[in-house]
Amino acid sequence: MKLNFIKNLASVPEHCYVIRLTRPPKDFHEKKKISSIQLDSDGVFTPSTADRESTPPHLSVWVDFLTTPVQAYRFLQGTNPNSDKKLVLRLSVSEIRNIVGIVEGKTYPNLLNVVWVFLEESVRNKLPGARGHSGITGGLFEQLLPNELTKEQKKNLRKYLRSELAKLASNDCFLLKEGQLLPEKSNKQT
Amino acid sequence: MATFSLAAPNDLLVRNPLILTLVAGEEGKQLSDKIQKIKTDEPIQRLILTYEEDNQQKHQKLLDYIQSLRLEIISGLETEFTLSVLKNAEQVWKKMREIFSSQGKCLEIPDACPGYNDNLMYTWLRGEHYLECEIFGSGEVEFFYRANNEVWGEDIKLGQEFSTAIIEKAALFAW
Repeated sequence: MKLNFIKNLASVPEHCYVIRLTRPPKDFHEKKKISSIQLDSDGVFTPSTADRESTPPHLSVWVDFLTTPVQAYRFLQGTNPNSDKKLVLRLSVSEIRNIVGIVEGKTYPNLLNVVWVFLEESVRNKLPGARGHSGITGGLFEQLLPNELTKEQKKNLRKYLRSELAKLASNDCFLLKEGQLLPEKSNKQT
Repeated sequence: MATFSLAAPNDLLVRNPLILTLVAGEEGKQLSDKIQKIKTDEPIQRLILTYEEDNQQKHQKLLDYIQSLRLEIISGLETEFTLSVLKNAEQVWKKMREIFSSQGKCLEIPDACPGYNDNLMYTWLRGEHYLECEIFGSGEVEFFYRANNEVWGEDIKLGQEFSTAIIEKAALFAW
């Protein structure tokens, strides 16, 4: 399949969904759901130092029609083979873009975007699912918020956006099953 | 502003004689008996006691949770938080709790969770009101509040006094 619309740093189409993996809370097995507060307090949408220092600054996500949740998990296993980030959060690209910030009565649209972020060529061409790598850019990084805002306002707005993303993600999440996570060879044998 | 208060039911008991003058006959007697029963059984006091016991248990659970995080570090597990942030978090919670207990109030026990950047966050939710207190290993403490269209935040250093605004926001979660 030719995917001509995929260009590094170009916007991901509106109709796409992106996934991000995180740790399930301890009560997830019992409740089968996660509250937005749990996600917010777990810092799922708080960029790491590496996220902040990347170009452009972005929070890593995966476009779900190119990267399956299991493939996304395999990437996590690259740095931590026993990663406990098995909760899959699914967010609509258009809903992410539609989040509107409010600062002292003034509304700020278009604060967040989702763009393709190409991984290194060697990874992108070899590992399954690598082509779905993308990133949430914009207001999660204070330096990218409107200059007219004060430092304090930017920080509050960033936290507001973070909690809005958590709210969206809490509506659509599921746990990876242990059986899906068996090493690839074992999967083929069974 | 939505607040939780136990004042109204107590007022009803105080007004008992007034009710009797307003509701005459058998109906008035039945009402009086019911109010007397409420007074004797003291359900409100028992309810308050239950809340306090529940709060005490939750407080212990929070301390146990922080201790379990500490054990993760001590036992050599790979974590994204340090002993320093846990100590800071305990200190902040102790101070917040003491402020309200000195006023004869109880601050609701928050949810707590460590983040990925040597931080630990306390969160409170009541209806539309949401408050978070994010504590860092470096000693920075960030408060953030949101309710519908209102967003507020304030940063302080560990050991610094809480501002009136911080206490006002936290008071939304005290009773």
